[in-house]
Amino acid sequence: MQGIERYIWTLLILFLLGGAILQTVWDPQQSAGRVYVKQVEGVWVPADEIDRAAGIAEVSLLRSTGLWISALFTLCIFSFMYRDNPFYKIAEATVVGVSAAYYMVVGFWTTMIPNLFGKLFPGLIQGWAMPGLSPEPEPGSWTYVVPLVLGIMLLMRLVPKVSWISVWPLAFIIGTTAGLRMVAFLEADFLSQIENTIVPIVAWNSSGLFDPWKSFENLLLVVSVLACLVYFFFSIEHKGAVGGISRFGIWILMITFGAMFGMTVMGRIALLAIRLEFLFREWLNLNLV
Amino acid sequence: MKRTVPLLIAAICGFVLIITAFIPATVTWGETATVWFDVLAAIAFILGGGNLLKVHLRKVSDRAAGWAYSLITVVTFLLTLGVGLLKWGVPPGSDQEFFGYSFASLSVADLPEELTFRLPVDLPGDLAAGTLPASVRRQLRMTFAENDSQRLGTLEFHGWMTSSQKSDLLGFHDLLDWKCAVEQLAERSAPPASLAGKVSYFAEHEALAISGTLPEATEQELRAISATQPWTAAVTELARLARAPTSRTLQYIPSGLQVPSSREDSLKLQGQTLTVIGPMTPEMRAELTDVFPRVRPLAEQEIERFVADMGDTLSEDQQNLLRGMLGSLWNAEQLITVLNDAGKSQPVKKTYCELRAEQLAGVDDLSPTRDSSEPDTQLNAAQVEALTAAVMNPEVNLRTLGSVLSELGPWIPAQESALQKFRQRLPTIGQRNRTLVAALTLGDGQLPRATLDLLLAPYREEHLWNNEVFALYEAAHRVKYAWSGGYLQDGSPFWWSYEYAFKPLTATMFALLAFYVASAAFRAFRAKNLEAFLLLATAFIILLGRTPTGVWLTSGLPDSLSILRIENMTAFILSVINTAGNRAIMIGIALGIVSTSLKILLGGDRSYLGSGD
Repeated sequence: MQGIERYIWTLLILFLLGGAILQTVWDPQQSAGRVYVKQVEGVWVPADEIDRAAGIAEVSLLRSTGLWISALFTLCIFSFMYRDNPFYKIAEATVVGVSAAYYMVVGFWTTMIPNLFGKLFPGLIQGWAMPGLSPEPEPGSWTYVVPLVLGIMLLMRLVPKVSWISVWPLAFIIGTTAGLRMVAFLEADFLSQIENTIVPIVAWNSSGLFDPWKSFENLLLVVSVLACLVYFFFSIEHKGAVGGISRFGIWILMITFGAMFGMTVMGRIALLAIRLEFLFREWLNLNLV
Repeated sequence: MKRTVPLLIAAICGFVLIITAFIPATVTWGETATVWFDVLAAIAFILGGGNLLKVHLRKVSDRAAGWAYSLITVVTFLLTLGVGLLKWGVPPGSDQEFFGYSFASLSVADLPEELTFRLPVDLPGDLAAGTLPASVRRQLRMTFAENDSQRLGTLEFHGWMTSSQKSDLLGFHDLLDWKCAVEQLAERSAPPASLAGKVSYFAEHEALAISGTLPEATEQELRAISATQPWTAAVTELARLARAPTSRTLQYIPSGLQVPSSREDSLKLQGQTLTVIGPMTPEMRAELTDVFPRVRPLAEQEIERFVADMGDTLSEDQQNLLRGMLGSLWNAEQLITVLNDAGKSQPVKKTYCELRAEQLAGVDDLSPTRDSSEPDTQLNAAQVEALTAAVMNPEVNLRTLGSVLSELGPWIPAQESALQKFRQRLPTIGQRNRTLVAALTLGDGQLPRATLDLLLAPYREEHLWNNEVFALYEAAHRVKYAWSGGYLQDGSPFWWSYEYAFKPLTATMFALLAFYVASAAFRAFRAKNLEAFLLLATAFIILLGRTPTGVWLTSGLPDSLSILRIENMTAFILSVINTAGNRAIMIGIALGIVSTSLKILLGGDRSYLGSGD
């Protein structure tokens, strides 16, 4: 049974790849499976149909290969919908390696170079990678020795004998995060949310007339927030009037969760549509819709 | 110690940052702590990378199950990391490369005494206590007066002051006396008029610099400044770099191309070979590429001739579109308005020394500008007539229109500048034709090959010539900061890895969740009670309200029941009920964060210390 299944899948994959190759070869617009580029100020940028018609665009072998690889990776990930398989595992292994390296590189060039080494050794960094940086040290820039030392201590986690010292920088991270976040959340979430909830229960429109619909919306908003907060208040037993209000709070929360769910699903479906559009339009140049 | 010290570190850092939020003078501490936090987060990525390598290399070396996938992880990780950290294939940053300049190394200490400019001043001594802008710190010295240790007596500047340095110094203090002194010092430390705009000294780059080529007379003038060894060596080096020829055999030359007479000392065109002496400046490049005619207003007959030239290949709609586009390019009235606006006299900005003099004279309300004594310069009837005729005449070059107009009436430099700016903003024939093709082929529009060739030939020629000039511009440039380019530069291997591996893989991973969320919802959602029904119904309404079908389903409801239309219900749910629910959740989260933070800072929660094993 397993042998037959493998046989069918091999045939299906060969059929798909063959179809993609045929479409690339016989596409009347000669766009499928290719990326056209043109040179502008020394940089190769994507070219459009008009550039091709003008004869200034050419096929980029490197980018066309990239297009094929990204299409195959997309299919590899989609293959997981059937079940776990080697193609998915290859894509999974690649995404782990590439994303770990990507974030390391971004951290190195956008944070460590300008915010650490650029502060401690401005002359060196200016002469090497950041000509716009002043080679003169800023007042107090020597204090950046602290994150450097803490960073080295953090890396000690890779050395088992002294890995305990990596807890010190971790304590710094936890402490600063707690200190900064506590004040920030009180300001941005707690106080501002309360402030925004204090709205006029009797609302007037721009003509100076009573606006019953707006008044109802505002009243519902205030009552709903209070009801939800009553539900979150567990120091009093939810019985009687409190129980009734907290039950209303649950209804509001349920509607909120339903809305969140709907929005999340729509977001994912939009992403899915983008990937399908990539496969059919960008890769195979098939305008199915 | 292993547990007490981290507890103390967390508590001290946290409480200090909480207290600083209440003391305005220490608010920046929080900003610094955030930067330190970012640095540690970046270093944590290195830790993550190290752990990843450790785990997967062990798996590969043990030939454990799935070791081949671990090998793929290690290889892709090392390749991406290597090309990203080394900025492999990334050209130097074009905005940081000082294109058009040649640099000769010369430190501030090696500057000759002749380039030390002194200004006697009488300024408060407090100024010396401030931190000078970094751009001038190496070059500016403040000396106290000999007879008064509370007053500054001399300002001393080494090298020529650049405009950005002057601007930095003006912003150093608001005292008018100081700003006036800076103006005077900038005037003294400006390069001689014959070298201005040509030679500069960039202290931050420790370089004596020259823009474009170095004529013999300029070299002699530079040598005459000083005979010190470092200065002479720098000038010699500049002469070598600024006179090095770079040639390119051109594949395409626009018909009738001539080297501008003002550039004959630095540009030579012999047959198919274009040679530039020294680096090509951006201005020189702009002049070389600005050789194609710009669009001008077309008369009715010209538009009809243009349409007729397309033959019978255009549909009726396409012909009308073409007529409309060609007839609405621009007109002479627009240019006349621009030139008349440029001719209006503008208020003159007073110098800081003038303002200081007014202040000393007892003027209370200091105005930064004064009215111009010059009258407005408007185009006269003859100029308007000549301009109107010229813009319609294909034989007249708009670039030289200013000289024609200046012979017919008053003409000021501001108008000439406005004319050239107006001209440069106009599209070239090639750019216009590209827009025409884009419009004519929009949707299902088709154009035959011959028409496309006819319309796009100028665009192609302009593109080829721009690339030829850029290639020479780049070849004549000496790279100064090879590592200054962006790590994610288009076309580089790291960009390739991001564009064709990272982006599609992560996007598809998230897209895949659409199936699983839908599948889980199908299995789990059951309207067993009122709460579950509310969740289910809301999700259904939101999903339906975001699709055209959902909107169509309820579009037939009368206006009196418009609240029941799906898009209105969606908007109501999102703006009122969803907002209320989210608001309560956010208030709860904020209170949770506060209590968790306090627990951590007071040592009540020590989970981050681990088990201690």
